[in-house]
Amino acid sequence: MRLRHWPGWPGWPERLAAAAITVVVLAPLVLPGYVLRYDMVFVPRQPMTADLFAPADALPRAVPLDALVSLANLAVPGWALQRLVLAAIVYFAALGMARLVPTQRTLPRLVAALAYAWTPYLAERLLLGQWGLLLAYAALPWLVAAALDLRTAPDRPRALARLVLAAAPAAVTPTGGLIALATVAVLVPLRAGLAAIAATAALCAPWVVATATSTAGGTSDPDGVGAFAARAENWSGALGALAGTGGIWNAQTVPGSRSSVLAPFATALLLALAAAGWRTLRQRWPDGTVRLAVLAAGSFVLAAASIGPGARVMEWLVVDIPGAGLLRDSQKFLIPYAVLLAVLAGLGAEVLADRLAVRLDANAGRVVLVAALLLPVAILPDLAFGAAGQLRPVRYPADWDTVATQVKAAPGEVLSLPFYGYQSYAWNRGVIVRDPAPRYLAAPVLINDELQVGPVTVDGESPRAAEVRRLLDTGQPVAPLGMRWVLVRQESGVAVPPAVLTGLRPVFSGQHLALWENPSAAATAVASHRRWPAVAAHLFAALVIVFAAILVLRRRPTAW
Amino acid sequence: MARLATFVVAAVLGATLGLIGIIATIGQISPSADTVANQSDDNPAATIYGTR
Repeated sequence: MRLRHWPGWPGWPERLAAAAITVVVLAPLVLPGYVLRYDMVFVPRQPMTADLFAPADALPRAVPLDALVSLANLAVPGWALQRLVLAAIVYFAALGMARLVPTQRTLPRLVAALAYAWTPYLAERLLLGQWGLLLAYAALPWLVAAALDLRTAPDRPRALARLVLAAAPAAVTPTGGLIALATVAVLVPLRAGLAAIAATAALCAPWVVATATSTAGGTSDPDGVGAFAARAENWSGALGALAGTGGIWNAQTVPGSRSSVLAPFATALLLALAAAGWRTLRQRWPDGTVRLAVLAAGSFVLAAASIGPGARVMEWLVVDIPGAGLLRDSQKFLIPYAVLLAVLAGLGAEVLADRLAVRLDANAGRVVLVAALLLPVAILPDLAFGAAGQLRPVRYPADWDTVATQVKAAPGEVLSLPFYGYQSYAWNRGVIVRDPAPRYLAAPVLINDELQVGPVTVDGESPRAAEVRRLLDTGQPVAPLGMRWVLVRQESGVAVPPAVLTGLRPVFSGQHLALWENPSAAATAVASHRRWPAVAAHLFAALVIVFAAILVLRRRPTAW
Repeated sequence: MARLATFVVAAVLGATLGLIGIIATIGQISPSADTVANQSDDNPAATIYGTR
């Protein structure tokens, strides 16, 4: 049996399964408020500031993601946007995988859907708050389908437009953009792929141009390679963790079940299931299987590159090659491997079920399929209900709105103290989260871009932040730095030395935050000439997407 | 005979999944978790990005 690569929309069982997975994973989000964890910061109304299009002195890690959030916030409040995005990630990851598997049977599709939407990768990145990266995770099954379809589709321009639309959610972050670009480059043959590669590259234009125009150095601290390398989660080591799509660097964002003594055996079961599906996949995708395997193998090698001897090479890259710092948290590149694993697991379950059905009876085959369906849940039971309650919404204290109103009335640079990029607020149940000030306040906010990973401090790139650190280390007042406002966190156990605030005038003091004004504030020099190319790149990428959408919609209606 | 075999398959797979699920649920207190705990700081300072 040879199936088309683009099977159309899945049926109701697949949609219902995807919806059920979404509900079970994100159940606590029915409560009001915002889930604030590590890199996941949503605010009631994120202002549209120039820094979101092109950070002046930081690498554009959330470009064009932040600009898109600000744009969406014009129509949708932050709390609703967060729920829409997180639900879309889980739902479309499951649905995309269900429709990608080359089979006409429902249960194997559902096996693949669970194997992709109920993974350590999704759980760990969700707990680290990297929802932008998870957009790429959700988009990749759709992109793989579009790329495989491109060579056989009778209507090439429309197939190319579908590929652009599938790549667009991935390209909202630099990492996702690179994964999308590699996927297209590997899966689409060169003679047919130049236009596809060019279109996908166009989607990456915003962060490429923002990087080129940033004053932040393009190179990174080599300490980051070891700090962000893939990590062992149990006795199977880092490679064993990666084989099960886990292995994130941060021990604090790993579900407890990953340290189970049986987790490696369960991963081995999943791999055995996948191995059983290899021959069938080659029969059904004769021209795409090897390419997908090459892409998956490449992603696994890259994910493992920061451990063992590869670490030296990686350190050299991040120090000497501008932009290579993107590779240092290499486990995030595991997405194509997760796609192949899930597809093979679905087909492997089908093969085993067929064999048992022939030797015993049809019910035995169904039992195998149901067992394969439940295997990802058995391996990782604590992904359910917001990763066992870890994704719980909280409310921002009213102080944040008060401060935002004051800053909006007289915009100017804000310094956020204590000078930590990541904070642990009592009102957020002590969960570590990136300082919300840059997204909450309608002004450029200076926060520390150094990253503390255990005892290791990974240097940042911003020269202005380095200047603040130097001043604070010597206990000198910050007023001479010329910022307009100083935002000070007020909670028990958090203290800013009074000498640091010398020369500032208090304008607000609440239970959680205080705002100080700097009478000697200098006019903020906005290097707008740096920003216009980035804004133009955003518009260019938007035009490519709009053109692709028109191309898909203007033709006869189809299943997609 | 086929029914008995199907029952055996279901029992074996069910028991395997159940065992994996139960051990995974209590993964935090498994011996393997102790190994990881030796390498990790479970109580990080309030303002650090994470621990390995």
